Amino acid sequence: MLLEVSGLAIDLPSPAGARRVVHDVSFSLAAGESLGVVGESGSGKTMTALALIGLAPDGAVVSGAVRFEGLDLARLGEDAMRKLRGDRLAMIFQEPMSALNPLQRIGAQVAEPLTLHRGMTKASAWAEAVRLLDRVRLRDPERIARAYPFALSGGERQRAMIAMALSCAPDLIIADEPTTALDVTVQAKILDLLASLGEQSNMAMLLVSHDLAVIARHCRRVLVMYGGTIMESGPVDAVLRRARHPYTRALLEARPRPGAPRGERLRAIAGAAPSSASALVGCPFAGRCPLTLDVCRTTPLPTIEFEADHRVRCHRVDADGRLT
Amino acid sequence: MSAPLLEVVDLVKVYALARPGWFAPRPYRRAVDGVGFVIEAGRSFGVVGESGSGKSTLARAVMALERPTAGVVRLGGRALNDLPRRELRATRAHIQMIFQDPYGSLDPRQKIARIVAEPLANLAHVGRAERAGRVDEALGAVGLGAADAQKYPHEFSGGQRQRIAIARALITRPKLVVADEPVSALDVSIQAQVLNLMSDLQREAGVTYLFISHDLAVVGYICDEIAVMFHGRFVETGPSAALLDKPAHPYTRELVDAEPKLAEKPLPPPEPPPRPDATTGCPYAARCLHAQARCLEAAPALRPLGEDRRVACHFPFGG
Repeated sequence: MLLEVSGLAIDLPSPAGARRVVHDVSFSLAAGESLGVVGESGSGKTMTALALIGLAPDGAVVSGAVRFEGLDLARLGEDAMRKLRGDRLAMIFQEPMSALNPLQRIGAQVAEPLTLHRGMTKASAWAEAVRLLDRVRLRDPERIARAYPFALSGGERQRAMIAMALSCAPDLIIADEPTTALDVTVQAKILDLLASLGEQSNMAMLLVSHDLAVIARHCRRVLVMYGGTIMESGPVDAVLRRARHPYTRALLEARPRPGAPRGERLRAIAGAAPSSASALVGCPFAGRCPLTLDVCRTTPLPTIEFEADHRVRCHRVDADGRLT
Repeated sequence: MSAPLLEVVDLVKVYALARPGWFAPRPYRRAVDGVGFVIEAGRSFGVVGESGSGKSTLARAVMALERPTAGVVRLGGRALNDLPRRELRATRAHIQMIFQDPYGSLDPRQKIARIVAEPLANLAHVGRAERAGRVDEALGAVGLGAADAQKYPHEFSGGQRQRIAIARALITRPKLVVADEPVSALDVSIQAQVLNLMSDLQREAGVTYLFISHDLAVVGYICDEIAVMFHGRFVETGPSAALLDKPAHPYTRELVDAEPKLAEKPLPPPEPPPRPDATTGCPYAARCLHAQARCLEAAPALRPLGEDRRVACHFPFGG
C-alpha cells in the first residue's frame, strides 16, 4: 500500500477545550489509485488531507497512524517531512493565488522544487519547468513561464499549480477542492487533465471535494465524510448505485436531477451540520437522520462491510446492507 | 394585452478600462452587449454563464443599480431609466435582490428584525405596527419563528442566513426577485432547503424570479425559461427542459457536457484547435469545436429556432 491511514483523529484547541474534528478515520490508497473524499463544510475532509502531509493547523493534536511507503509520517520530524513534501507528496489547493508567490515568475516557482529536491541547475530546471507547463497544456508555455501570477487567468494559475505539484513526479498528489473556484468548463478540463496525468505516471490521487458528481467523474473509490467521520466508503459505482448510508442517500437526492419534472420537490436534509462533535459518542448524523433511534446517539458506530470493499458505518444497516 | 412584468430591450453596458499606456486609446469592455428578454408575472427566467459573461452586470442593470449605456429596462411597462429619483425609490421596492453570500450580505451588528425590515424604509406608507407584523410574516414564510427576530446573524447557520436574506427580499411583497447565485455558497444539503423554499414561494405567492447562476441543474430546477450568456450576449434562449435536453448552441452543449453528473462518465471533450480570438466573427468561435470559415467572418444574430427557442449560431444543432 502506498498510503495507509489508521485511527486518525484530530483535536483542535478551542476556548472550551479541545474540539475533536476528525474521528477514527482509516483508509488506504494503492499506487496509481484515485480516491475521492466527499463531504460538506465541517465534515473534516480538508483537515484530514492537511494532516496527511503534516500541515494541520498550529496547536492541532493529531493521533493515529499515517504510513506512506512504509514511513510513519506522524513520527517523522519536520525536516524529513519537508523533504517529502513537494517531492514524493504534493498538494494542490483551492485558491492558486494564495499558494503562488505573487512576486516570482511562474517558471521560477515551477522550477523551485527541481532545484530543491533534484539538485538541478537553475537553467535546466527552467527548461524543465517550461516542459511541465506544456504538459499541463498551457498554450505558449514560454510566455507563461516568464509571466507573474496576476497576469494569468484562474484556470491558467491552477494549471501552473498542477505543473508545480507534478514537477518531481510525486507518488501521491492531494488536491483539495482544486477547481471549486473555476468555471465548470475549465473545471472539467483541469480534472480530466489531472486524472490522465495520474494514469500516465502511476501517480495516486486523493481528491477532496464537496461535490459527489465531481468525484464520481474522476475517482475510482470514494469516502463519504460527515461530522469528522467516514460514513460510507467503497468503489464509486457501488456507492453511487447502491448507497446504503442514509446520509449518502440524502446527499444523492438533495441535488436537482437533470431532466426531472419542474417543481419536483428536492429531498432537503433538515437541520444543519454539527459545528463540533467533541462529546460525540454515537453517530454525528443522528438527529438530522430520519431513521434516528436512541442507539444512534448512545453507541459507537459499527463498521459493516457488506460487499467487497464497500463499507458503511451505521446502526440501521445490517450485514446484508439492508436497512433494519 | 397588458405589459409583461419585466421587459429588457437591447440593453448595453460598456465599461471604460484603464489605458494600457499614457497615449494609448482607452479600451472599452462591452459587459452586456445588446440583450433583450421579457418575463411574465409569476414566471421564472434563468441566466446561465461563466464568470465574466456579464450576467451579474445584467442583474445590476435590472435592479437599476447600474445605468445602462443603451437600451431600456421596463417594469410593468414603465422604463426605469426615465423615472425621477423619488419614483425610482418607490419602484425599487417592487424589485428585491438576493445575493450569493449569506455571510457578507447581513449586517452582523443588527438584529434580524431590523435587517429584515430594512427595505420597508423606502415605503412611506408602512407604519411601525404594520412593520412588526410584516417581519413576522416574512420570517414565517421562510420557516423561521418570531423569536428569531431578536437574534443576530451569527446565531444562524449558512442556510438559515440565506433564508433571512430571502425574508428581507420578500418583505416589500416585491413583484420581481433578482437572485444572483443564491445557493452557490451553500452546502448541497442546505441548497435543497433554499431551492424548495424559493419554488414554494413562487407557487404560493406568485413571486417572479430573475435567477442568475452558473449551475445548470439549479437553474433548470427553478426556471421556466433559460438564457445562456456568453461574452455579454445571449447565445441561446428557450424553455428549460428543451434547452438542457437538446442544446442548439455549441456553447450550451459545452456547458451541459462539462457539468459533472452522477449518472455516466463522459469522455473528456477534445481541445479545440487554437484560433485567434475573432474580432468580427462569432465570439465563441475561438473555443468552438464546430467552427467553420463563416463563423470567423460574421457574428450570428439571435434568431428563432423552432418553438419558443432562439439561438445565435450559424450552424446550430438540430437547426
